[in-house]
Amino acid sequence: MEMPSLRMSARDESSLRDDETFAMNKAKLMSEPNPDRLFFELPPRGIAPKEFVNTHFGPQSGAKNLQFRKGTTTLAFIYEPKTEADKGGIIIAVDSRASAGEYISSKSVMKILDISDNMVATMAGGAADCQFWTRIVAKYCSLYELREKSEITVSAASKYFANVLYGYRGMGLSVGSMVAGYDKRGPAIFKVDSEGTRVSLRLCSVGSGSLSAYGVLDAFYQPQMTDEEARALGRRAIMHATYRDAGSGGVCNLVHITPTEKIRLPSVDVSELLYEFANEIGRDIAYEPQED
Amino acid sequence: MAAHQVAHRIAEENQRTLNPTCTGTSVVAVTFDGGVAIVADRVASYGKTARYKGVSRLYRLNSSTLIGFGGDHADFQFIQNLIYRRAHDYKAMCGDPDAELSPMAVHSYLTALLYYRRSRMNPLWNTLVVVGTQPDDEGVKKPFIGIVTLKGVAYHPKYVATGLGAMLIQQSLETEFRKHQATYGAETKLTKDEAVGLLRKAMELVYYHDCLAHSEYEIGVVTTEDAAVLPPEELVGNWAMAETNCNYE
Amino acid sequence: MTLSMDNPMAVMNAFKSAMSQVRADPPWRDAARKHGDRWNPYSFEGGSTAAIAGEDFVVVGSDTRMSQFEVNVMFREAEKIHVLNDSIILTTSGFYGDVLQLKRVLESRLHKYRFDYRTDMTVDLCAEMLARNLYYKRFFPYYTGAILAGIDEKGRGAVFSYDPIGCIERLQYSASGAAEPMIIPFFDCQVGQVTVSKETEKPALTLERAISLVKDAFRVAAERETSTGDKIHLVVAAHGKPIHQEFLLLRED
Repeated sequence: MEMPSLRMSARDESSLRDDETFAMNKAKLMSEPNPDRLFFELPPRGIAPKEFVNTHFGPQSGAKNLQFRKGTTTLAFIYEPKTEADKGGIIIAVDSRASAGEYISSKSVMKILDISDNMVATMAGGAADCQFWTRIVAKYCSLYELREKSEITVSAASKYFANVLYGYRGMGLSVGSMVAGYDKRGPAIFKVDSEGTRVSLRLCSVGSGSLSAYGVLDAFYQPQMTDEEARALGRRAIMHATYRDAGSGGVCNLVHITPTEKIRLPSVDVSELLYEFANEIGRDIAYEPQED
Repeated sequence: MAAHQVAHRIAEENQRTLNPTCTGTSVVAVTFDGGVAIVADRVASYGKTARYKGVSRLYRLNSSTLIGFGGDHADFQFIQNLIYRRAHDYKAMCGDPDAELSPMAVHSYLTALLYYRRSRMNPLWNTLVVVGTQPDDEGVKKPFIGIVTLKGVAYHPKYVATGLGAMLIQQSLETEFRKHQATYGAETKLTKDEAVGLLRKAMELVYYHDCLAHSEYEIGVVTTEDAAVLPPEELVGNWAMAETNCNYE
Repeated sequence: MTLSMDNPMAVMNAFKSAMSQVRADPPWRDAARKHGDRWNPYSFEGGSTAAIAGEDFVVVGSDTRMSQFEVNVMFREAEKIHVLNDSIILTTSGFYGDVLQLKRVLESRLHKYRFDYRTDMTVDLCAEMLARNLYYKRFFPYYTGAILAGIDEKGRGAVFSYDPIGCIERLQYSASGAAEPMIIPFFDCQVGQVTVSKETEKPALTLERAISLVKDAFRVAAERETSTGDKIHLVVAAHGKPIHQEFLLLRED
């Protein structure tokens, strides 16, 4: 299996006339590149892509609301069912804000991306990076399943993901993803990032609001919970993260992966959650606008 | 790649115009009823020196296309070669020695070329103005102006001033031009003589305010019949203003 | 400091730092080359675009101003909305050279699709393709804020919004360009109805209302944003009807 790899733009152009090379370039317009041999055009003259992109699209550049979308709080944890009625499994909860510099360019991003029937990946860091590479991993998993006639493990999928990202290390990709799912070995969460790190965890949070989320998770997480408790914990952690982190906000999306199915729960506005939790502890947490 | 190729490539990539040397300044063009008129002065400046006088900045490609340029003169000569070769290839391709590239075809080619070169970060330091008469779907020749800048930005205006002229006279050109439109955006009723007169006036304004502009200029006119660069003209200008504006005494 | 193999850690660290130094500043990058590398291949021609999707229609608008160096109006009739086929409309702001290139790429791909499958591509497929094509330029990105709009396979209006490297999202309304931070809050208020309580009865989003909202969006943007103005280019696509285009005058200052 060939991995999508980086090809340098070292085409043999040196011997060609200027107008011929450009005609060659024009011919490439017609068809999509072969996805197995992904070719990314690099900045010319051997300029490092990371510096190049940062110069022209970074916070110091003139690209104000044309910066890349990023910023997030995502979390996932594994728990055991407390009673017979509960299913147990994995809770994945995320916010939905994408900011381009100072500007909130979207307040409704779906940050839980499907990889296979019982596996998802979360999205933190560069939104486009996550979307694109998750799609590549999903494709790999589908092909694996067709070829091997058995479902891929979370471990294998995340390892492929990490290997691909490692291949682009130092080029400025920004990915902090959790690959979570149920396979023949049970529930698993792997945190993968663009530096090439891959770690297996039972409780994990990634993104700018992860510190706040960890605070809530560590305080209230128990190895055994009811489904209701687990879902409420996920939502509560996201709510607190959005409350204290400017880079997070919007709605809370939640996915519950049980041993048998993947449940996508309806999204809840975090400001509603805020009032709900404030009510619960019987305290006014924020200014409440009067109805007019 | 062999070592000599690497050396060649690095050398090639260093042949770049980031500091243009001999440059031309404004080009002004305007469509009229049945054709296009274009004007450029006849000097290539080296910094602020009028280095080469009597240099034509208009290139007559064929009976329906003229190309004017601002920016680096060497790069334009290179482009001239490419276009000439292109036109020649086109004749061979059509098997017709009289086949001519239309202005729109030339403009598309130049857009792609300049965008490609900026993508290699090896720009051709020119603003090109392609003017001519372009046959529409019914075969009726319509006035055409196409602009390409050094980064590959292309557009088709009805009147244009490039270089410093873009800042100096674009607005006066526009005001004058709109007087000759029945409604905003309609076909212009400007006649050929009015258009040429408008360009002479524009050149005078550029000459007063742009220190790189020169008094000798030439006008090119493309009509549905032919494209021609008229003989150079000399501008004297009215400098009486200098007498009244003596606050340096 | 002398290095010997007695202290392999120090050797390793010295090697690593030498490597990173060379990578950051290779010896073949001489002063002239570094100077050249700083040339900015991008420019921003200003302007804004917006789109609203309804039940069975989509309204796309843009201004037509093209400006230079953020001050000088170069051209008042620039096309920023490109009708790609009977159900796909691309609208982009940003560096106009990249806008043209992106349009060329999509048109070529759509042409080939039509040749291969003998049918026009739908907006859903084109949306994914655009996202991929933006991402293929991840390390030398297009400087564009693209919006793809059209009528999808089920006959509903669709608006897809992108960042410069192809983060895709399907939305009810979107805007991009210089006036994006002005137009989006206006749409949030008028289309998204985020300021009224859930119980309040909301006006339905009809085609007429969507058109007048897009017009208003550009009129207010032209009042307060320097690079937006001249004309509104309005394109309306409705299910089962041909695409309709019109131009309306805006402030020219």
